[in-house]
Order: sequence, then C-alpha cells, then structure tokens
Amino acid sequence: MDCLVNKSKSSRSWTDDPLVHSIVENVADGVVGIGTDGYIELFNRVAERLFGYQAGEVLGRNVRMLMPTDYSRDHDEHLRRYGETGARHIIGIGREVVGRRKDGSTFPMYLSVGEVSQPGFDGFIGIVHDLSSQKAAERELAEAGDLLQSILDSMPSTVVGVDADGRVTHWNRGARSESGLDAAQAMGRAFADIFPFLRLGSADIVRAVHEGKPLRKERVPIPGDGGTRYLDLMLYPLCHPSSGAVIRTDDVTERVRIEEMMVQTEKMMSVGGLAAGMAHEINNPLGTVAQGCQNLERRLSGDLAENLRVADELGLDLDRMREYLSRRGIPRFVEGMREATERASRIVSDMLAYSRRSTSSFVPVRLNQLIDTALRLAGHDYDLKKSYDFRRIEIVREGTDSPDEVLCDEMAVEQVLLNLLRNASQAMCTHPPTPSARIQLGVYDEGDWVRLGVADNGPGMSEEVARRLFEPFFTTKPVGIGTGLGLSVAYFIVTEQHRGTISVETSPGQGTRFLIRLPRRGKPYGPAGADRR
Amino acid sequence: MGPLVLIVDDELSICDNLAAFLEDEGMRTEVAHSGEEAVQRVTDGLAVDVCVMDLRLPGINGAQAILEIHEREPRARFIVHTGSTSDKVLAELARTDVGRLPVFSKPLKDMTRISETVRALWTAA
Repeated sequence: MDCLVNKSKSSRSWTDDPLVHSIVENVADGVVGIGTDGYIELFNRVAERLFGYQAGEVLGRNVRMLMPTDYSRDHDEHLRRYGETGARHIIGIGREVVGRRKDGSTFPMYLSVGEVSQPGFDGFIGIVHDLSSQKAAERELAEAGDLLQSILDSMPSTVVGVDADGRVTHWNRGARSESGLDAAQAMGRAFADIFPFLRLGSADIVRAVHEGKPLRKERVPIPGDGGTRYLDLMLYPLCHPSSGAVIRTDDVTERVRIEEMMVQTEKMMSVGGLAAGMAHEINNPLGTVAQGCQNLERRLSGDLAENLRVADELGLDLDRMREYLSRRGIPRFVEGMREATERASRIVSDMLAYSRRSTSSFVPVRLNQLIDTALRLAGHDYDLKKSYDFRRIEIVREGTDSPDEVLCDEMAVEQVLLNLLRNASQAMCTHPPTPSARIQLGVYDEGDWVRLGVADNGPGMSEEVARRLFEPFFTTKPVGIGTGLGLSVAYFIVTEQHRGTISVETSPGQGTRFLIRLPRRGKPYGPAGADRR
Repeated sequence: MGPLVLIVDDELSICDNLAAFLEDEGMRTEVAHSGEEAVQRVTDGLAVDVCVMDLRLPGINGAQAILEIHEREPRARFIVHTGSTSDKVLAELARTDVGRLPVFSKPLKDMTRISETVRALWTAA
C-alpha cells in the first residue's frame, strides 16, 4: 500500500481511508492521480502493469513521462491554462489518447479525468482504460474488410453482394465501372434497379437465395453505342442460408467475337480449299456452255460464208429462219445462258481469290495512293455503271495525308477497297436511292497500325445483316449482282493475309462505316503460306 | 488455206466448240483427247501449225505434251487453254525453249481472241 501514494507530500490523506484505498487498488482500470502542478501523487497496481513502472519510480515526477512526446509537450500548458481560465479539455469528459510505457512503447487508452479537491490532495484523478486489444480487434476487422474489398476489387469481374431481398451489400470496382455508381450510391439499392439490362429481377434473386440454387445466364446482350456487348452472369447463394448471394458478371464480348470469327474463318478456309479443286471441274463445263452459246449465235445470226453456203444448199431462207427464231425467243434463251455462264464464272473466280491470295508479295504502299487507284477503278467499273453512276457519288477524303508507307499486298488491299466502294454505291442505289450520296475515305495513323475508313451515308443495315456480313455466300443483293463472296474475301485478305482487323459500324438509316486496321510492317500470311503462326 | 490447228482437250464438247469456231474462221482443225494422242498424231506426221492445249489431262499433262510435240515438230506454236489456276506449270514451261505461251482461261466468253492469236502466231511463223 505504500507504493500507492506519494507520502512525502502529505502526512494525512483521503487515500489513507481503507475503503478508498481498496477501491483504487482493486478497480480493473489504471488510476493515476496528479497534483495541480502535474506531478504524480497516486499510481495504482493496474497503472503499474499498464505503464511498466513501479509506483516508486513515478511518484513525485511529472505525469508527462507517461505520455509520448507530442502529447507531453503541451501538458504543462494545458494545466496552467485550466488553472487560470477553467477551460476544460479533458476534465470530466474523457477521450482516447496514447500512453507511453517505461520501455518507450505506446498503447491506446481511454482516459477519463476528474478533478479532486480534498484535504491532502488537490489535483486530478485519471482513469486509464487500456484499448490495446479493442484497437487490435478493430484493426483486424478493418483489415479483414479491406482484404475482402481488395479481393473483390482485384477481380476484373463485376462482383456484387446482395442480401436476401436482392439489395446491394458489397460492391467492387468492376461494379462501379459497369454501373457508373460508387459504393455509397449503390449500397442498399436493389440490384435489379441498378442493372435492369441484365434482366435479373429481384424476384429471381429472392427465389435463388431461398432455394439455395445458383443461377446462370450466358451471353446477355447489352446494346451500346460501340456495338453490342455480351455479359455472362452468375449468381451464387451464400453458404449461410438465406443471408443473400453474390452476383458476378463477366464481359465475354471478346470471346463471343473470337468464336464468331473462328466459325467465320473456318467457313472461309473450307471455301478456299474447295475453290482450287472445284475451279477446274466447273470451268470446263462452263467453257462448253459459253463457247456453245457463241457458236450458236454465230451460226444462227451471223453472216458467215459457211452459213450462207449451207442455207443455199438446203434452199433455206435465212431471213425467215431468223424471223422464226426471234419470234420463238431463241436468241433470248441463248443470251440468258451466256449471262448465267458469266455469273457462275464470276463466282468461281471470286472463290479462287482465297487460294490465290496465299502466294502474295508485300510491298511498301502509300494507302492514299491506293485509294486513288481504287477510286479510279471504281469509276470505270462495269458493275458500278450498271447499278449506279459512281461519278454522281460525292467522294470525301479524310484523315492524314501521311507519306508513310504500309507493307501490304497492294493488289489485295486494292481489291478490298474496290469491293467496299462497290458495295457502298450499290447500297446507295437501292430504292429509294440515297439523296446526295456520299462516300468518305480516310487513312489514319495509329502508330504501328494504320486505320482505313470507308463510310457511306446509304441505307445502313440491320444487326442481323451486319452479323452475317463477312459470311461466304451471304448476300443481300439481287440474284446475279453479287456472289456473296466479296466481303468474305475482303475479310480473308485483311485478317488472314495481313493479320489486320476489319469491322463494320452500321444501323438502319445511319449509313455504314467499315474500319480496316493494318499492321504497318505486315508480313505475308496465308493458309498455304510458310509463315504460319 | 488457213493454219492447221490441233485442239487437245479431254472435254469433248470443248474440242467441238473450238473446232467449229475456228473452222468458221477458215482454219483446218484436228482434235485429240489426251496428251499421248496428240503426241502420237504429230509423230505420225500431222503438220501442226498451232496447237491449243489444255493443261490438266489424263495421262501426261499438257505441259509435258507441249514439250514432246515441240521436240518432234519445232515449227509448231502453242496456245494454252485451261480451267486450272496454277501457273506453276506455265512458269516451268517458260524456262524451257518453248518460252512464254499465250494463256486463255476457261470459260472463254469470246473465242475471237483465241482465233486471232492462232492467226497471229501462224502469220509470224
């Protein structure tokens, strides 16, 4: 008991009271008494344990020794000011402060201070409640929360925790970027309201949580300005029954595109493989029909000496025979056969474009010059003249007039461009013809890549058509106009041969824009080329 | 009298049509349906001025037949009339003393072009 109080200061003290003494010594918190001058006069057992000092080491010394420097510096000043003004900072209030142990380490504590004015003691009594374990627990909890959030945030997916009613309880970075809402805005709101486009209603969530069954939706299409995106959605009820669920969505647009592309490429590869073998077999009979037509026409209508000789020999009036043929529509049939032959032959030669492309040579090309050539060719194109007067289309050149060259197969890229120009002009002549038809062409520098844009202000196309655009034999043109191979050859040339990309942006009534990206330093690559990946 | 043209094609109606057209142009024609047959005809003394040769044939191919006919009848001139797409064979032929040959792809819309070429080759020879 002697250790408790600084006896040197007073002969008789209220602390001598056995009851008070017992209380002070046995409370679970540290008790430190100081005089108005700040010198320690009372130091109980718990205080000894908390601060690591024996009472004898602290009694009669300034209480600042129990504080870290930044607290202790102003302590005397606080005491002095309180003495003068009575302005309370801590007295009768209490707050969280930091204590310093004998070994210099610190610990968090809750300090409540009361003023005591009794015979033998005039000063302050501080009750020190150690907060170390509480703080540690709080820190642990916060760390666990941070870790959880960090785990959620580090996932590229959108991860949202919901309660049993489908209201948001957890929100990760992916969810923020998907929705544009930060956690504070999202918490407590219904998942279904934040992500209506996922078509996952609150009722669905409640049912899934209730039944404890995961729920999965694949390739949910999300229409957007930059084209449709696709999300996979997974809902897993939490293990703890009816406590909610975690919902994850992943952007699978790229995967969907790649899969579509692979199907496309496979289709085209098979066309390419077939083409070479088929060409010979088809060209021969086509040759017979084409040449037969020519012979028919010459021998029926021509003024060949042999025609006249044989007719004379038979006593046949050629003019009457021709009158008969004409009235029976024979020349029309022959003409039809010849046109059909030409059409079939065009299909074969388009198909051959696949197999031929494999042996191409890449040369440095200025894309702007290539555009000039393609435009000139388009102006002379027979098909174009038939369907639309190309010269009536306004041509707008955009982009940079970069003198930089691109390594590519000049003829092939020219073929791609010509194809796009032909499609654009044919689209713009469909009824009703596009008023003030315009095609914009531009070359844009993208560092290691060059972008080529071909845009028209024609009728555009539906998503369904756009999706099948590069498919072999898919065409929207009237029979006999298109083979359905032009764009798939273009696709093949750009993606396979040049390892570039070709894409289309369009919607009905909004025109169509094709974007081609080519690597600046391209290397030949084809299905039969040596340079396979 | 016009040139004597040997038409070599395994497709009978191609031979017929081509022969009919060239005859209408005042030329004499003979047909063979394989490379071997064509070589045999020349070996047997057929004085060919111009030979219109298909490339893909049963037995020896057109290029080989051309080389063999050329050996037997160096005066003969050649025109290739083919439905196939490979120009590898033609590139090889071009390296021999037969040289680079005029090529017509099937289907041939207008046979006037082939008859003009026949006449030009014949006149030059």
